[in-house]
Amino acid sequence: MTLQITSMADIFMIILVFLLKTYGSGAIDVTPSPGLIIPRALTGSAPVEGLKLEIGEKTVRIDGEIAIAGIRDYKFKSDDLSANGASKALVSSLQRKKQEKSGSQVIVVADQRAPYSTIKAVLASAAVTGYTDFKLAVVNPN
Amino acid sequence: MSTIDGSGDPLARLGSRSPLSQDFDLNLAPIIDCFVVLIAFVMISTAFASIGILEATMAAGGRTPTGAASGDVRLRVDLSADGAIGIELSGKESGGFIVPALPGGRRDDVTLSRKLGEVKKNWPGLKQARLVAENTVAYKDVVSSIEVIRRTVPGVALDGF
Repeated sequence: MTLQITSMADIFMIILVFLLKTYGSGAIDVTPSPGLIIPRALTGSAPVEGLKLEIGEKTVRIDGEIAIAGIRDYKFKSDDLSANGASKALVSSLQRKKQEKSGSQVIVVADQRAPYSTIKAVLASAAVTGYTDFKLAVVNPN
Repeated sequence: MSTIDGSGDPLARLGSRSPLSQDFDLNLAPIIDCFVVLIAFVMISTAFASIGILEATMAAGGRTPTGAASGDVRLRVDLSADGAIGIELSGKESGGFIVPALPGGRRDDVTLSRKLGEVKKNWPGLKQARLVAENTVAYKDVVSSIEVIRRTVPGVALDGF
């Protein structure tokens, strides 16, 4: 018995074309940490690149590197927050990052369960450091 | 070299055909191998979840609210922790109304969209809204509200700092 692999080659070709067409359809290169759920929303904005600020349940990451590991339930420690609402530790990390990488654009990749107080603290920290152009990363349902 | 008939003659595969004959079978096995490897690689590295960008600015601090120069009225949307949404107008038209929460504490985005549509109809020059949320409001609700507001008012500034 001879295996007919011509039809199999046809199937593989179709799968390959489909995959290549959908390849890289993600607007930006974001790899969320395990357990982080990005909220869903319809967007029409063009893809951008910038400093990625990831807000998770226990950590805040800057471009994938842990900047703050001491937060609990998405909340900063009260003694870490300054009068303007910014996190002292995050401001310090962002200042170091600012010296390495210029630009003012920040992509906020936050867990959908994070409270608004934490989002505000992160945005305030970024604004204090000179990052003033904010983009919110969401999962496009389409 | 082994052949189909085991005779050792490679021409036996081609039967009685001449070696110069163009009537031959393409060996698809290596092509299939390549496809399998390529498909596995592409499937692993493809981002099926498309990450998009939602534009949001940060309302400036100080006494002058952001959006004051963008139209004749200023629009502020307040998200409460209990699911209610407050809409406040100031400037040439003052007033406000509250969109009560749906059963289960869910936000009534449909009514919010309708109310914002009514405001936009009266004030077509309105280009920016300020969004304020209580500290405990989840980021998901903030994003959802930004999405609803942006359908009517193109600019959304996060406030409450």
